[in-house]
Amino acid sequence: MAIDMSKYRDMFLSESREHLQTMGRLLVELEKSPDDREGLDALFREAHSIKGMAASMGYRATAELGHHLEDFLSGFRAGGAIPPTAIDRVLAGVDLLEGLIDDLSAERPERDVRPFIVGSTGAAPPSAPPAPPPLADEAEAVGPGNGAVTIPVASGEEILKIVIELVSGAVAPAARALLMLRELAAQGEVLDADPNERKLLQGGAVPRLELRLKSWRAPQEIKDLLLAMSDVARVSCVVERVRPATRQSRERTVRVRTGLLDQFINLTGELVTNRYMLQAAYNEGRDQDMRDGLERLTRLITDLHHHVLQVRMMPLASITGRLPRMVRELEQQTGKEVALRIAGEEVELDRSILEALADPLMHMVRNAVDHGIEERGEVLVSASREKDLVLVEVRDNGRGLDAEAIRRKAVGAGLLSPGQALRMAERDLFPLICLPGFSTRAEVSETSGRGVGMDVVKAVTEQFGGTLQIASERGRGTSIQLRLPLSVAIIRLLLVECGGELLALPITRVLRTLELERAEIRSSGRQMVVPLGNELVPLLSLRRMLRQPAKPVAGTIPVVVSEARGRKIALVVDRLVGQREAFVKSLAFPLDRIAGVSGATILGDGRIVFIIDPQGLLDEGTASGGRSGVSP
Amino acid sequence: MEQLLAFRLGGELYGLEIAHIQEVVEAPPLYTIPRAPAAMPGALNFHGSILPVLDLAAFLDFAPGKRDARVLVLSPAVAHLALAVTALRGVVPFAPESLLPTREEQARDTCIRAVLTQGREMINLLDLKTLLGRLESL
Repeated sequence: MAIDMSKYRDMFLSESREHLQTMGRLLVELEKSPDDREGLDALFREAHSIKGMAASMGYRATAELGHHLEDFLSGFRAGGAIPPTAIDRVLAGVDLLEGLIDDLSAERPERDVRPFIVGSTGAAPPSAPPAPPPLADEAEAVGPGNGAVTIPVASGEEILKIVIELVSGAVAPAARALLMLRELAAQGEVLDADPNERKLLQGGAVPRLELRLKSWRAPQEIKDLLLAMSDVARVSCVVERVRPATRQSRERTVRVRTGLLDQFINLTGELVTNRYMLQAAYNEGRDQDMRDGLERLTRLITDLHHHVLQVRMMPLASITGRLPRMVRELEQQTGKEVALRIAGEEVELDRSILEALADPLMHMVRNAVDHGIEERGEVLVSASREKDLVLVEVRDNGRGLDAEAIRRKAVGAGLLSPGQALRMAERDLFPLICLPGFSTRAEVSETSGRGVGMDVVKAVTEQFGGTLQIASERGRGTSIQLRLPLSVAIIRLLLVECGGELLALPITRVLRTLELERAEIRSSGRQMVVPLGNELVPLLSLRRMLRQPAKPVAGTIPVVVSEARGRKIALVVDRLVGQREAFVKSLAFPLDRIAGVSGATILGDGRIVFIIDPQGLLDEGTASGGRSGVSP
Repeated sequence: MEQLLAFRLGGELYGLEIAHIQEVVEAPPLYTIPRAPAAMPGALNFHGSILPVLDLAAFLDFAPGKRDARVLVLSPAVAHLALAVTALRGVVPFAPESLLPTREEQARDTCIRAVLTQGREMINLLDLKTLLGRLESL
């Protein structure tokens, strides 16, 4: 086959995974309403798609299993309902398909699907057509036309390399080999043969026949066909792998609307036009045209940027697909009754944020089922746009967080002194569950106890410049809200000057900026504070947090109000410079080892500006924040 | 024959295989990294990559002194890092089999992988693996 299928492989893998997720979701829905005709149809179509794609890629076991599930389901489609046993079986089939996709993605041979397919007969509905019979054993030589070999799937044409050894006592081996060659020619196209037809016609001894056959048939079929013929001692028949000389690293793929691609082409066209316009203006020294041209270029670049970011956007649905299935399994494990509702699945986020969010989201839902819901209840996963941010919320109507338990645990773990714990308000206690290793459950439960914890959820959120908020009420439920930027590449930054350096804060971390008069500042104990609304917000010196020399205060004091550990803080800077959109670069080792620095950006003049994270700056060393405090 | 780039750190002569070096950059502007350790005087913008500069002499506890304005940008396969040294010397060809091994504890403390004798001089071959390992705990 001339087409290099490896190009399509990644696409196949990612699309199959999506189909499998959808199947999982549909199955869970069908379990609740087994006679949902549309759901059953949709499920059937998903299986059909997987089969078709796998077949055209030449992934035989995957195609076979897809076909089997499709067949299995078609019986229930006719009957109009699907029983629970059948749902379990299809779920098991989906698991097996996932295993196959893993095999293919790791470039391993596909695992054996026959035991699964053979084991199907018991679960088939009475109205179902007979499940495809197991493939013939190698010992049994089965000819093609007797209906026993079932690979009706158009499996994609492949080149088979066939070696036939004839028994030593064959009477007319050359004639026998010629017959085989002609038989095979009827199954496809014989590309080459050794000995070839001309040689065979001359007769003589033919111990073996080697040939390459381009055929739609599976190697096993060809093998069976040959073994059924006389004088054949041994047959080997394998698919010839045409491997690229160098192994390409696996690139992740995205699907792009063709409309968007058209816009790229249009933009490219405009950029080319713009370039000639600028060239002409430059050649003829037309300053005004140069300026206009540059302005136009700026607009085009902004446009291009916007569209490039669009390509990276994916709907939340791409990571919520697994949730229904997980909740179903949790229901079975815990005996609880949980209604999972997902809203705002169409809300789009940058691909890399979504990928990082997949596990934390599962964890939060698991937590909600495990720790929140008591016997029955509802878990709501929702997403919505809030200006430049996306709010992702996991909410349950369960028992709510136990502030007392958190207090005890925090004291027990040495995170708070008993006095501190007593004075702490409930809402200040909740963020403590995000500390590494913190769990209010005495025993480690099978589902929530392992793997990612709330500390990971928080770290992932903050890594993208997002924030995490926890609200909870005893007996009413818990809500965890993640506010995430839409896209990682471009964020709005607030630039400040401090100790002669230009620094940036993600605007998502800035509540407001102020120019304080000296008289507005009060002292509370050894700590300087500023009243904002009805709160006394501690004043912290960014210079001290950055270990820069202190500076005497003169005139008004520029302050950035931010949040750290769920509380407001006011950072004193030297100067507020302004806001700008910036392409943020994440930092590589060893820069990523520096706490409190979350990224950097390069300004138009080549200057590097580091992005600081106030929370990270506080976490490092100064547990109470006292060392950074502005003292009277 | 292989080649190394020789440079001085305090009073010692060190060297690094040129295969590990992507480029020597002439006096790039350095931008202060907030909260960076003292041995990291700043970062440079290297064709759009942000690379921290490690002052090797300071990091390996040589007496503070002048620094060569040029920095060695390591190959990206090694690390996203540039090295500042006391003074650059030049390229020295050497036969890998003429390298003398160092004791293990010496390698750890001084980041020296092997020693090369060059006439009356000794060149310490920088052990990048140990160096990067020590950066893990900044």
